Amino acid sequence: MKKKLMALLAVAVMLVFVLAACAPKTDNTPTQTPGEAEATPAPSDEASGDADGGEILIGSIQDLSGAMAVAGKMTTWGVERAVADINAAGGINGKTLKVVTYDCKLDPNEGVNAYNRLVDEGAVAIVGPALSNIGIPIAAVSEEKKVPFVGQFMDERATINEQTGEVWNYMFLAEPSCLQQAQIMANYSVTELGIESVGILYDSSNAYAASHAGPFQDYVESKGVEVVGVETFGADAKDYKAQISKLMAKNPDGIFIPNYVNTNALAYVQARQLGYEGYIIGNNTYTPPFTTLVEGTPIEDLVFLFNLDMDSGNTKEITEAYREEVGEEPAFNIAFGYDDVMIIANALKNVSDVTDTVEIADYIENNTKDVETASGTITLNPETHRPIGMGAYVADYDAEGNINLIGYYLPED
Amino acid sequence: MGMTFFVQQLINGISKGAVYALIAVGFALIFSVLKFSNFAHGGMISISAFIGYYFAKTLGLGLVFSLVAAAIGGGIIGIILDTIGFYNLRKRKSPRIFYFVSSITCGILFMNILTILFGTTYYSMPPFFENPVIKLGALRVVTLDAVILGTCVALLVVLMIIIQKTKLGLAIRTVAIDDTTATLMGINANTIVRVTFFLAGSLAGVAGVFLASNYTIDPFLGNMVVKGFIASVIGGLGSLPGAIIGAFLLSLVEVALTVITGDVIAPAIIFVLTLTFLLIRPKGIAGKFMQEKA
Repeated sequence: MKKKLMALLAVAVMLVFVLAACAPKTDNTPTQTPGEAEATPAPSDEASGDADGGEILIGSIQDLSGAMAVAGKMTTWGVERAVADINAAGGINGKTLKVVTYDCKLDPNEGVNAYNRLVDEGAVAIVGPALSNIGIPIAAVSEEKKVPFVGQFMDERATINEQTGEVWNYMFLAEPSCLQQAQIMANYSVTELGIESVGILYDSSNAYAASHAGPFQDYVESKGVEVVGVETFGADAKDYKAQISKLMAKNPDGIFIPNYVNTNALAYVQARQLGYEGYIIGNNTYTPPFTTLVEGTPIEDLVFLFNLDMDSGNTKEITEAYREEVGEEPAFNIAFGYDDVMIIANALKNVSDVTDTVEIADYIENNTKDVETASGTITLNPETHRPIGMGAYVADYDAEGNINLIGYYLPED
Repeated sequence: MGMTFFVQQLINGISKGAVYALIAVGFALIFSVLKFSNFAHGGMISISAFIGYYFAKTLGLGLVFSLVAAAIGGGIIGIILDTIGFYNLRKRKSPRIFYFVSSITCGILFMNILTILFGTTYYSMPPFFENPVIKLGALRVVTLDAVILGTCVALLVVLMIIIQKTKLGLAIRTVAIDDTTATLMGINANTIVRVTFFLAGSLAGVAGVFLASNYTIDPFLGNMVVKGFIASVIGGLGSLPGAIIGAFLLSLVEVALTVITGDVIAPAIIFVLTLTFLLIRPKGIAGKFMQEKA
């Protein structure tokens, strides 16, 4: 009997290996968002400038099935839209630009695996996600693989090696960093909301959240605001009432809650359930599906950061295209993907060898100046690999649950 | 910090405890009969949460209907779980450790099936109560938490009546003591075990809907089963009242630690306390079955 069991087990194990080897690659083809087929024109000699022939492969790593999948899918749409626009305008010096997207599933290990896979497949540059938890581990890998990674991983450690203080050579951030965004919200809280005391509640296991909490605290304290308490919780925690009650006991004018959307939604609901009536001050993830997750709880006295005005400037065109194709209201993440591709394309058009990833990274570092993107023009600081002069909006929700932009603010840094 | 603060924290702890108790009761039921820690209970909770979500959100039916649907659905999942995960082990009189391994595997399988079907995006239940918060002066009691507490107590009473006062309960207790002797005495042990899994699955169904309403829904919602396990250990593996006592003790200690030390080291302290309980009083506060734990 035992022998039969062992034989069966061995057969099962062999079957697993065979199936794994024969299974088709997941996420190997360019990921399509609904309606994307219409946005991606069929390649033709005239449309894509195939006269010179050839393809340039870039990669994209996004969360397509994890907690930030809503944002990840919008970023992917923006990436594919940018690639389509570039190819429609003649490609990169006559070559067609092609993108392959992999799903990091909000898992750093998956993100690193995806980066390595894309490098092995010949990607000359890679678009990254708006996830610091993914960007930070890839930073060290990128030094080894030397393929530029352009994304919205806002934690400073994704662009600066915190041990050496030197910039990571192949990591580029295309939106204001965590420190800058925290400063914007802190400045707004002090000057516009007039808060004199504040509490902070964040997920200590989340690099992105921690990278907001620290700079926010530093800034408000430098302006004479009392930080009445800093409370944390772990990755799997869902009940924050004890922490919120602790903060409420000190009666702060506001509570800063800068986490991912699901956590922010739970914290917001629980704070209001406990009777907290002060300001809830947030980061840039109070976007869809936030209003769905807090259904039943009025959204009041909540201010948060919102990167772009979706209905003006360069962003307007892709916003309208997204509404028409997908039939939904977009968040700024569609512009993130678009911007990253434009920064990469700017380098690809001007380097002497589009297969030399070191040259491409060097060009991005030193020559990303006033590059036209969906977010406006972007100039990267060669010293920090972060944008210069890029601000963001502060927003709230109106009575109908629509995002209302209050004002545009630049960081002091 | 005045008295109001401490009373509010006590309410927070009891509210949290009600959620843990829901999880712990179903967990303890299986342990009391089959003497192993069924970590697939978490998978059943997750599936039931999505069943409840379908009835509440997609079909627009209320809390009661969603609870009943999830309880029935959870019960059926419980029977499926027994069929695929434990029946053959029982037939072959396998060691208890195999049940434990199978339960973990099935739990992971259930959650990953949900991930394939729904992704890991978060969903939320519709609000069920017009007044989501009960105000007692400066104190706040979330209406849902009060309902969970009441439901938990009611479920425990019903379970105790079934187990202590009915023929079915007598059969369950007999199979729990010795399934072979029970069979010799004319009790179909397999049927009784299936019924027990149906009951546990139903409890998971109720827990799933309440957890989904209290928090957000995702395939890994059932990972909270770890709290149920810790509560059962503290309260006594195999004891239903002990599981509930353990749940409330656990939540109150968690809240106390959050207030005193902060949330960062509270989980580590909780695990140390759990290990200490296992060393000093392995049968827990009210537990009976300590020799054959798995």
